[in-house]
Amino acid sequence: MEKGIKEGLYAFTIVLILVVLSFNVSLVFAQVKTGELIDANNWQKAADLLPPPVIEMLKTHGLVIKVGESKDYPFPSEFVEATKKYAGTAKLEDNLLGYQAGLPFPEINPKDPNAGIKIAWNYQYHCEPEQRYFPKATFVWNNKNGAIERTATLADRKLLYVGRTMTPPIPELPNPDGIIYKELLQLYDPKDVAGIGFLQIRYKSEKKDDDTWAYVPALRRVRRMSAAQRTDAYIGTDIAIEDFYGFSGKITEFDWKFITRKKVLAIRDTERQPATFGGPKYKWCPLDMPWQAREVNIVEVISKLKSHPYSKRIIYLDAQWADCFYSEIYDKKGEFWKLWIQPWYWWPQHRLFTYPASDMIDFQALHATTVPTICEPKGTYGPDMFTIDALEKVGR
Amino acid sequence: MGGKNWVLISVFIFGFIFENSASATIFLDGNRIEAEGILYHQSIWRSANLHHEYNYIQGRNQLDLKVLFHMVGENGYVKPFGIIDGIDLRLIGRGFYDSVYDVTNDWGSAGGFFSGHLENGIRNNIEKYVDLREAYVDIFMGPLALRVGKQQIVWGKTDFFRLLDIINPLDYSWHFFFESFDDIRIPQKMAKALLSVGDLGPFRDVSLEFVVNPRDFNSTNLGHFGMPWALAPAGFELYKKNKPFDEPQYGGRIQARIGGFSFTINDYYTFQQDPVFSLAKGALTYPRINVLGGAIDYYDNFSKSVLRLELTYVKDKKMGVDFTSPYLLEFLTNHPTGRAEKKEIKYCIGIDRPTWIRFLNQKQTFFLSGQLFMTHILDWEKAITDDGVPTRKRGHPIVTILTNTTYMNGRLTPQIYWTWDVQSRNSHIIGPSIQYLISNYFNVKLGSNLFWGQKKARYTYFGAYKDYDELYIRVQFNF
Repeated sequence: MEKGIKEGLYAFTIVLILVVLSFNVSLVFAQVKTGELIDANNWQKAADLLPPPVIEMLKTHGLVIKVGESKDYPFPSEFVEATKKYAGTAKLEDNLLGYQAGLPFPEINPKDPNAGIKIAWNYQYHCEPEQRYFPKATFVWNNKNGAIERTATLADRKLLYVGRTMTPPIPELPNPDGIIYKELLQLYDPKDVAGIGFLQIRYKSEKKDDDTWAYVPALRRVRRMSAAQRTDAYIGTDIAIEDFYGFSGKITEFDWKFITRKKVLAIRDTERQPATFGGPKYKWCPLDMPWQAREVNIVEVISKLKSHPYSKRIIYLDAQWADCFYSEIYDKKGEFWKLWIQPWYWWPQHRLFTYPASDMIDFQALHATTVPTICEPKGTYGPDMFTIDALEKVGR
Repeated sequence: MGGKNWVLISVFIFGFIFENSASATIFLDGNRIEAEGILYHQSIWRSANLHHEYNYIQGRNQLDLKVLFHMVGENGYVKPFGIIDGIDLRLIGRGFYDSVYDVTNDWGSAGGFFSGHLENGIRNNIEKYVDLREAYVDIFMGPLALRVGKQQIVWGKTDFFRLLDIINPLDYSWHFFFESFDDIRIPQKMAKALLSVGDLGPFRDVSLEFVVNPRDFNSTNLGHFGMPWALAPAGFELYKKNKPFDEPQYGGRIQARIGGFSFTINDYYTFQQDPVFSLAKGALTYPRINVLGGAIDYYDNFSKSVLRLELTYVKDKKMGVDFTSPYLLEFLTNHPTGRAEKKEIKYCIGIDRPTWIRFLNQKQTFFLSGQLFMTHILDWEKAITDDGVPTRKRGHPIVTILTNTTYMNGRLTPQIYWTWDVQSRNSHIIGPSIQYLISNYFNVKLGSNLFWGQKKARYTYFGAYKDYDELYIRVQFNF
C-alpha cells in the first residue's frame, strides 16, 4: 500500500477513535434512568456504577445522586488536529520524549503492558485551558459534627508552556528550560495566611523536582521552598500537595497499572460554578449536581518510594478527556483512607472543562476539605507574571 | 497582671463578633478600599531560671490598622491610563499601650542590666504611642514598580539575625529581637524602584532594584534606661534621626536565577546603626559604611533541602575599644580616637528541609532549619569590639536551629528554636512555643525564651542575659 494512503488511514483512525470516545456517554443504562435519584434507600441500583467509597457515601454520609442526561463533549477541533499531527511522536523512555501537543496516546490497548503509563501521560497532557485562572477558590474544613472549622481563600493562575493547541504560540512557549507549566497562587484569607504567595515551576524532566518559592508576608520576602514533600498536607487541609486534581505528582516516580475500563457515574458537568456541598449529616456531599455515565480508565498507582505514606492510589480517568473523576487513597496498611471527588464544569464557548469545586474526604477521620471554586479557562497574562519579582508584587 | 488591660477583653469581644463573618478583610466603596488589622495583647513575666519570683514586665496592647486604597487600576477610582497600570496608597497605623508602666516603674529582681527607676516623663512617652507607621504609594508601570514613602524594604535570606537586611534599623526596646522583624523594623521615608528585566541570556527572572533614603536615619533603638529590655545605660542619647539631605543612603540589588540557583548581588551605602564611641568627639557616633554582599539559594534534589548562603563585606566598619582589655593602651596608641576602621566579613550558611518524623506526626512534616552565622574581622587586632561585644581573631560563630509542625488540620503549631553563641561557653537561648488557631480570626500563643550563659563572659551576645528567662502569652485577633 502506498505510503500516502497508509498515513491517511492512520490519521483517519486517530480521528475516528477520538470521535467514538466522544460518543461513549450516549449509552443507556438499564439500572438507572435520567432524572432518577439514588440515595441510601436504593444505592444498590448504582452499585456497579460507582467507586466503593461513593457507595459508602450513599449509605452513610447522606449523599444523594441525581442521574443526569448523558451528553457529548467533543474535543476542540484544534486539539483533534494536534493529536493527529503529532500522532506517534511521543515515545516512552524513562520519561516521555518527543511530545508536542494533543493526546500523546489516543489509542490505549487494555492488553498493552504499558497501558497504565500511557494513560498517565494522557492525564498529564489532557486537553485543558492553556491559561487557567481561579479568581476565587475557598478551602472549607468540615468536621464530622457538620461544623465548618475554618476556611481559606485563594486565587490561582496557571500557564501551560507545552501542549498548546489553541492559544499562540503553538505548540509551545519559548522554553529553553523545558517547563511544562508555571503556577502562581495567592492566599488572601484568613489573615494568618493572607498575602502568602507561591510560585511553582513544573519541568518536563522527571529527574528535576519542581522549583517553588513562597512570599511570606511576616518576613516581607520571598523564601525558596522544598517541593519534595508532596505528601505534606496543604495548609493543614485533608489534601496533600500530591492529591490535587486527583494526582499531581511526578509520573515516573510511580508504577501505573491498568485495571479496567468501565462505565461509572461522575460529575462531568455541574452546570454552574461554584459547585456546592452539604448534606443532612456531613457537609461534604456534592449537592444538586447531575451525575452522568462516563467511560473511564481505572488505574492503580503505586509509589516507587517505600517511604511514601500511601500504599496505593486508584484513579478513575475519563476515557475521552483523560481527566480525573475520582482518586481513592489507601494507607500504608492497605486500608482505604481518603477519596478525592473532582466535579467539572463545561464552558461551551471555550469548549473546555474547568474546576467548579474539589472534595477530599478522609473516611478514617470523618473529616473533609471541600473547595468550591470559580474558575475561568482564559487569562490575559503571560510568562512575565510568573517570576520571583512578580511574586513579591502580588504578595503583600 | 494589672493595669488597664481592657484590650485583652476587647480582643475577645471583637473575636466573637467577627467569628461568623464571611471575610476578614473589610471592603469598602466598591472594593476600592481594603481595611484589615491586628489587635493583640501580650503579657510577659520574667523569672531568673523560672525558679525565682515572677515579675510582670510587659502588658502590651497593640492595634495595627492597614488600609489600602486602589487609586488607579481595573478596580480603582480611576481606570489605568497611559503607562500607568495602577496606583495604590497604603497606610499602616499603629497604636500601643503597655500597661506594665501603670503597675510599676522599678523591676527589682526582674530588672536587667539597665533596670532602675523610670522617670515619669520618659515613662509617659514609652507606655503609649500612636503613629502612622507606614505610608507609601505604589505605582505600577509595566515592568517598573515604584514605591515612595515611609516603608520597610527587606533584603537577604536569613532568619533570626540580619546580614543584608540592613536598610531599616530595628527597635529592640520592647522585646529585643524576639518579635517578628516585620514588627520591630523602624520604617524609613524612602523610594524604591523595581524593574523586571525578564530573561537575559542564561539568566531568568532578572530584576533590578534601586533604593534611596534621602534623609531619614534612626539608630538601633536600644531602649531607655529603666525599661525591662533596656540595652543601654543611663545618660546616653541613642536615638538619632533626620540627617541632612547631603547624607543620603542609597543602593541597589540585582536578582536573578540561573540553573537551579536564585541569587542577589547587593550594595548599600548607609550608616552603622549601632553606635561606636569616639574619644575624639566624646560621643556616640554612627559612621558611614558601604555594605557589599549577596545571597544565593539552591534546591538540592538529592537531599531534598534548600541550601542558602548569604555574605556581606564592609571594608570600612568602625569598631570601638574594649575598655576592660589589657591591651587598651596599645589600642589607644594606634587609634587615639578610640575607633578603628576594619574589614569585616559576615556570612551565613543555612539549610531548610521539611522532614517526616512519622511517629510524631503522620500528616505533616517537620520544618527543620539550621543556620551558621560567622563574623570575621580580616585585619583584627586586640581590644576591638564589634557591636559592643569584644572580639577574637578566630571569629564569632552563632548557630540557630528551628523546627515546627502542625496538628489538628493546621490549627495547632508547636515550635522550638535554639540559638547557640558558640564563642561564649554555654551561652544559649531556647524558645519553645505553641500557637492555637481558635478560629479564622482568633489565635493564642504561649511560649518562653530561656537563657543560659555566664554574665561575666567576655565574648558573648547572649550570656549576659542569663537571668532574663521569660514566659509569655499572646492573644490576637486578625480582621
